[in-house]
Amino acid sequence: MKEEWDIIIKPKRSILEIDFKAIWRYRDLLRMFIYRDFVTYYRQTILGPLWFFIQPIFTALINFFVFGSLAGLGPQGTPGFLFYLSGPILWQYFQDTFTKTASTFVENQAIFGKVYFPRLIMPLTVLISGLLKFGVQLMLLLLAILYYYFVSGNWSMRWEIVFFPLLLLIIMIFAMGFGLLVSSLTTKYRDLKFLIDFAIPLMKYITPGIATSYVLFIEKLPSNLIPFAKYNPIGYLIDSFNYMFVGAGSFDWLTIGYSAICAIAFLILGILIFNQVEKNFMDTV
Amino acid sequence: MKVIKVENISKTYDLGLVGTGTLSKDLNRTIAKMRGKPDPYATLAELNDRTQKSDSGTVYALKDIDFSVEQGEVLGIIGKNGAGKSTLLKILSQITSPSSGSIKIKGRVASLLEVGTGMHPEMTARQNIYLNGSIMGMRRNEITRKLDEIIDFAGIAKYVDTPIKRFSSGMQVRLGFAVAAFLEPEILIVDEVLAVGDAEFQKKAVGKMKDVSTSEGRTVLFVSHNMAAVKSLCTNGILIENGRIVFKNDINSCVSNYLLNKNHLVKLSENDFSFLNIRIIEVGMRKSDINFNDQFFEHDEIEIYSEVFIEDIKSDYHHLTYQIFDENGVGLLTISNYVHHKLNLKSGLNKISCFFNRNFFSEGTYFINFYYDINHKAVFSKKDLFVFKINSGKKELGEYTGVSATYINPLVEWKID
Repeated sequence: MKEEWDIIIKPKRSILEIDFKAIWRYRDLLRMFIYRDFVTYYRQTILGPLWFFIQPIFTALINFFVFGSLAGLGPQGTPGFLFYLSGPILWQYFQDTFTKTASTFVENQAIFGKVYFPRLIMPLTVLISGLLKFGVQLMLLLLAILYYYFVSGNWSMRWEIVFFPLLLLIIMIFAMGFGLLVSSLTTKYRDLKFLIDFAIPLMKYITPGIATSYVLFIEKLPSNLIPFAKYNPIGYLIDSFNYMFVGAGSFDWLTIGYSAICAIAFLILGILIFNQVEKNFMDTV
Repeated sequence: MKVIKVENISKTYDLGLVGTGTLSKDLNRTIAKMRGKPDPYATLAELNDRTQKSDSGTVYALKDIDFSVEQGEVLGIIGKNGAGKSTLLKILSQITSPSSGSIKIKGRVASLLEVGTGMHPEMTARQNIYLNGSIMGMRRNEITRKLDEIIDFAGIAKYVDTPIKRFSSGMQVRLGFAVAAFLEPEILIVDEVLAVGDAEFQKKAVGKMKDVSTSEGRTVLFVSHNMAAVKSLCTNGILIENGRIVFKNDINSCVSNYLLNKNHLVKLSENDFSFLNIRIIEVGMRKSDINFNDQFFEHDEIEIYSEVFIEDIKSDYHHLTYQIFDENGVGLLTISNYVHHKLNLKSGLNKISCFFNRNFFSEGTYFINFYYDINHKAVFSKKDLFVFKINSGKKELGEYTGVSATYINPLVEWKID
């Protein structure tokens, strides 16, 4: 008689052995984690969820002042405030998702050390619960767009906005994939955490779509730095996002396609490595 | 039916820096890992003996662990701190993977290496039950079905919608255990969780675990330093020492075997009694003046020795009591300076000895409980403080060589008129 076993624990697992079924079995856990993030995020703060609004508004005002007024990089034909509101909102979602995913193992070692569940649940939680904040801020952006329409008659949204879900999907995949890749490395080399903490906020300023639109950005950039901007997939995504919502940027299937390919490549690589690391990270973290 | 089959599990850890030290070896290892091959440098490892300095840079936390567990069996895993018990549990609960060997498991596993894992202080008790339950692998509707029972078991009905940060730590532990108690896995892995909480709760917890194993036929793996709990819960045991299984048998012989490995001197923590202005320093057993590592034979004169420091005796009456039990927990005798001599202790350091005549004990294994009373109120008690074994003595030719039918063969005064 052949023995049937439900779980077989072996030293190593082959590189393509990813238990997606287990993730599906634990979907209730994913839901609970998202719920936890949702109910605890602004507990015991006076302004509560208002912080969702305060952050982007002040960021937009400062950026507007520094880049728009001081540096004169503001967009043509679009209210500057709108422009400096939209790009950073999307960037912030990317940055939050990426940095939290990248520190998955380090942040959760207490719980990972005590109980087993598919570790990919954690990055998925980050990915989805971040959407809440992003969604709320997107509402703010829409309100601002409506405000400018009623005040100045300037309707900034483009029809390409129908592709927004696709754009969002690409940026989610990118943030998660890139985060997973780095998370696997941070278990062994904690230096990366420090690098990420200051490099990612800095990267914001060399990403087109934050300080100014892609076209103007390339124009102002010293020619030897242009490749850095050109190969940065996030730049294209933010620029397209700006174009859809506030009409300042560009929309090009070629660059979106390029970003999508990068994102998917990162995700596949990230999951593969994450899957290898998760088995033994408790020994190195 | 076997539900767990552990086959030759080993686990190695690198000492010091992570990595082999050279890039080429690191790469070699990485390539082997990627191909799913065993680590080419794993063979360098030594056994996990921490008293010896290791040269090779890797140690075995576990080596060639091999056992299987039948359905409904309650297996106790015992051993000293650092023997590898927790590593074994971590491998069984898939928190980390073995370096070689494999484990096959039939059925759903829940591991309780901690209670209340992942609970969030800002969330209410109800929310935390759902959260913690999901972390343990329960489905949402399953939790909903058992919610009332869980709340009832934890005894927190009044505070269901209070954030648990307002709970006392005891309540938090109770809540965590309550969730765990209503898991319905086929196999339950428990690590020392009973060490927390008050006596009443511990009783409840042990009771619940007993229910789970006896009436519901589930398999339990239990790790604890609490020998009383291990003995009352488990049917079989394995004893781990330096990463190897050194003994595998029924739980009672396993526990005796474990306790025997200690020497016959127990240092008691000083802090426990500071409020009483006494310090029970040590309790030990010996046959010569200095050596607590003696082996005892039937013909030895044996001394039980205690050191107690009393800051100021005042008019208090202090006395200490030893009780001696056999392997099966049958009480054999009680010795106390109260019962026998009304001997009072003095201020300062008391070195208290009592002597047993030679041939008092027969061959066998004995457990000592220790109690300390002030004015006839118990201030300290410790069960199974240590164990001693009496070996059979030298025998003259032709003398009876079997084991004595009775444990105690005291020298008494005889008189023939």
